[in-house]
Amino acid sequence: MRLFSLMLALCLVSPSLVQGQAPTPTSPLPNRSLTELLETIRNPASSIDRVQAAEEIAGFGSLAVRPLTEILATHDPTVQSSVLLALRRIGADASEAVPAVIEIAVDADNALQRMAIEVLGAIGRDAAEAVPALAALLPVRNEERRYHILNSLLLIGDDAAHQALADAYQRGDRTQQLAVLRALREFPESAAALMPLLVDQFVQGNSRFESHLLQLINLAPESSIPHLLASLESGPPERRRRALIALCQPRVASAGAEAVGLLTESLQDSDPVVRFWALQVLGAIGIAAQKSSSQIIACFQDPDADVRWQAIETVQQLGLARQAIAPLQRLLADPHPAVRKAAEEAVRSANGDYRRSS
Amino acid sequence: MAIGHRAKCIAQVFIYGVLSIALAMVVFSSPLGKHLIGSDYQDEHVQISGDDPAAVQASRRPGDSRFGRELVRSSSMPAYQDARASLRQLNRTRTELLRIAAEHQVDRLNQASEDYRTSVQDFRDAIHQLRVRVEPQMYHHLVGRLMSERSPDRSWQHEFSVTEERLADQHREPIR
Repeated sequence: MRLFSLMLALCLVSPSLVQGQAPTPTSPLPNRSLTELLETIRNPASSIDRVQAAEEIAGFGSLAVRPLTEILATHDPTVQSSVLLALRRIGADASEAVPAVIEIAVDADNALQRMAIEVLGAIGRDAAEAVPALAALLPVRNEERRYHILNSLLLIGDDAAHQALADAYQRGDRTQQLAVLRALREFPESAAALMPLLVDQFVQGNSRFESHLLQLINLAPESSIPHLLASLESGPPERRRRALIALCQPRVASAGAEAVGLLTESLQDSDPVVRFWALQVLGAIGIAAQKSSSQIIACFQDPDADVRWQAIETVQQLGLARQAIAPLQRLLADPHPAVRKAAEEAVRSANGDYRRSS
Repeated sequence: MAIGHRAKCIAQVFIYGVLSIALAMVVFSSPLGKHLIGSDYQDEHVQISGDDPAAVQASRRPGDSRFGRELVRSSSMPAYQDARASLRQLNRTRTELLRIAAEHQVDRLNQASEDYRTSVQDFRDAIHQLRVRVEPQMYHHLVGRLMSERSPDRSWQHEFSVTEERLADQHREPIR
């Protein structure tokens, strides 16, 4: 019976212990001063004690940075590891330690290089002086190391860091280019800063990374739309077509009301593919495109079957089917069966709407 | 007596086992424990990639609602219908060419060969028209759909199976 009671007590107690009454990592214990903790880092009784001390020191914030930087000069990897851990936890307030951390970050033979790179990223903007050193480290084969360097550059996120990322993309091999694009997905502000390059790459016809580029263009529509419109205004049809594909992306189209004028002009383009995509973007933009209804309906008479078909789709998307019922009925005799079928469905849908509303 | 002693031993082993598991759970769920086994690192990485658009991209498959709608919509457009018709024509002319060659009808061989060449060119043009009218990430799915469709007689795709890779090759390089 006593055994059973003991087991029951254990079962009840262990979950409550597991579910987190453990101390938070950054709160210093009340009876340990900064001096004591620094001493523990220098001469730890055990590795657990050293790590615990590093976690607690972080709670002192910027106060702990100078003494930690002094300890960093000891060149004892065990001690340096604890200091870097504490500096990483301190984050933005640890800017004073940047020069010392850069020294470790640029040393490829140092086992703590990765940790130092992470500390620079954790410090963020105030680690700007580390950008040239980080950029110089980038041509690295180790994917994990590259990820940490790119991540730190993005966390620093100033103009120099963005330039370093642009250079890394333009001068890097395929793997590095892909790594830059992937890293940018987590940083919309940086993607916005690099948007001229990203849009240019896409509209120029970079088919290797087109899905990644489209994603990034869609990530920061306010930045991408002006560049896309500039590409749409001039250049060969293929460049205009690709600009229109990017404008079709959901977030870009949602923010693309300003593009309606230029898109309406594009309905007169000599290339049927450009006209087709312009109609598709107008449909994706939605209500703001209704003001171009007459030009859209006029596309029912386009010589290209796909343009006529897309015009029917766009009219339906914009809720203009009832307004366009007569020209839609003329399309019931269209020479292309796909257009006839689309027109039949549109007419049926418009009539159904009419009956429901009356 | 011996049975009682054995039961006592088993009970002790059980208690120590439970105690060890409970202790391990407590230690490794604490911040210090997490740091020792490196899972705090993983936690941070998971947190960073919480809103990863890669996940959004991964969901852009035919099952995804927007993607699925787009796939259905695109397969009713004239360019797709034309590509399908030209693929059937390509299959017919190829079957005819093979039949004529097998029957040694030399007088009809040149014409059948020319018809086949023309249908290859038409198909390539039709595929190009489709490609420029769909989003890049949609194109390969749409071609896969085109290849998996069956004609009313349910025979053409077995007679001439065009794989997506082969189609892409044909599209890139002119057939000599």
